[in-house]
Amino acid sequence: MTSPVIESEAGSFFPSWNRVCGLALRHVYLYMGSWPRLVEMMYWPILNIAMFGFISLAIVKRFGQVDVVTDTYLGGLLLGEILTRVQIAMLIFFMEEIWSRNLGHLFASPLRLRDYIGGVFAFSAFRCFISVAPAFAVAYFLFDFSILKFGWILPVYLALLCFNGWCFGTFIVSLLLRFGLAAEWLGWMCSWLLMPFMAPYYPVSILPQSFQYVSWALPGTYVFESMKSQVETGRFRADYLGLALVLNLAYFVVAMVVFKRSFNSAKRTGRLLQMGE
Amino acid sequence: MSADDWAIRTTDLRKLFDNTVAVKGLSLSVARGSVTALLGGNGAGKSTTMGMLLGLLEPTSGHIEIFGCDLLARRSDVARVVNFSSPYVDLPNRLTVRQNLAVYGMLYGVPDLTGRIAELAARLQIGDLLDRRHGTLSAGQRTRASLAKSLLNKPKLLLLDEPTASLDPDTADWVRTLLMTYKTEENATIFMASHNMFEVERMCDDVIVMKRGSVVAHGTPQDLLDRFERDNLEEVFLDIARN
Repeated sequence: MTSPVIESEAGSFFPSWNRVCGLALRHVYLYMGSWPRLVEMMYWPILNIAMFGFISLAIVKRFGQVDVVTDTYLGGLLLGEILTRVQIAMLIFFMEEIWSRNLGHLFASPLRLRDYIGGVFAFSAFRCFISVAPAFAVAYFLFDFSILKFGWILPVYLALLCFNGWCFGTFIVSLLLRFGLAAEWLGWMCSWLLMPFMAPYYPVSILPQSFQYVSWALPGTYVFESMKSQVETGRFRADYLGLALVLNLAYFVVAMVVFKRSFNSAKRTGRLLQMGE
Repeated sequence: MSADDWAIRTTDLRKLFDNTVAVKGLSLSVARGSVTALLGGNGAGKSTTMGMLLGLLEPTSGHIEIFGCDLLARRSDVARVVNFSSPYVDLPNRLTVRQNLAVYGMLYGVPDLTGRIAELAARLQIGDLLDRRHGTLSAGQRTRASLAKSLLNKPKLLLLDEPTASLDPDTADWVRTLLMTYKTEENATIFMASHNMFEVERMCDDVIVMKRGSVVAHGTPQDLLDRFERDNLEEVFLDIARN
């Protein structure tokens, strides 16, 4: 249907760069004007790295075990932080709109779901980087552990875990869209729920058999296994990283379908207008 | 009138929440360049209708066209020429007025955003508020900031929910004048929900009255006064609400 007033948007398959930036900018402004938010963002990763760093040092001292322990613990922790911080960033990104009762303005604008997803992915990756960068530095200065020791494969680990975090984060936001604020606590819980199955600090093989089925269905597990293999043998697992990518792609497709359905459900029930009230 | 002459056309619009009918079979046409009021008591279906026109609520059945475009099929395209203001939907409180306008300017793809913000700041007399957080503004200042956001993209269709709620008479009058000037300059259409009958009489060419999800009266303010044999719209409203 044509209209003399309304023009079709060109190149509409891809997210709009302007809208993705606008959405990310809204949250950058929010953080720039709120030092407690900035502190909180960096607090937990630093606290975790300090705790685990000292625990691993104590184990090394007690049992005389070598760098493998420290490297596995700290490597697992830092990479695990990528996964959880991306999910938490996505959850907070959405919650901030609910808390400020801004969803109505946002989704009455030309913002499309792909723009929203683009904005939330971009901001969560940025927020995650700001969150974990100080923890990387703490690990280096306190425990002489450099994340860069994983070499050129490190960006692949980070990208795969970030991708995994985006997929799971999308499920969490979908949950909120479908069940409203009542699901908030579930959202926080879900950010850590699958971490024990992904075995960041220990081999998957020590988990009960039934848990292992879950483990091998999660992309993050393969990244952590490759990281542990690299710590122990000096060689990463390309086959595992390939599987992580395939699984991530499958989860991404499912996450997008679930998100779209949850969004439509929120539009049907009126939750998009009521949330936050 | 041809299809191009209508800003809004809805056909047999229905909205059900579980088993409750909020809007039943709403068919209305709003002429381009008009100012139309949507009236009705609490629970009449005004907010639900507004929500559907904004694309925030999905109709259970029926059809919505904005400037001849199917809203459900082309919501994002339509949203670029529409905007809204409501005292019940906040802008982020922790952002300054300028930051809010910058964010929404980007979402709406406003060209020369800095210039447009300056222009609106002068017009809405919010220059001194631009660098204050939205959460620190008074009710009247919030209304002006929200109006600035709603005029950012020079909308051809402006949806307003209680545009002068919680404003003192002087500021309310100033806002009405501003809206009418904008409408004339941009040949824009204004569709507003209001409980202020004086405002409706002063501003609107057309009045739609809803009750329990249906349109029960539709016409110019004078038509309604004549039909109900009343002196003002307040009395017409009470007649409809109580019968």
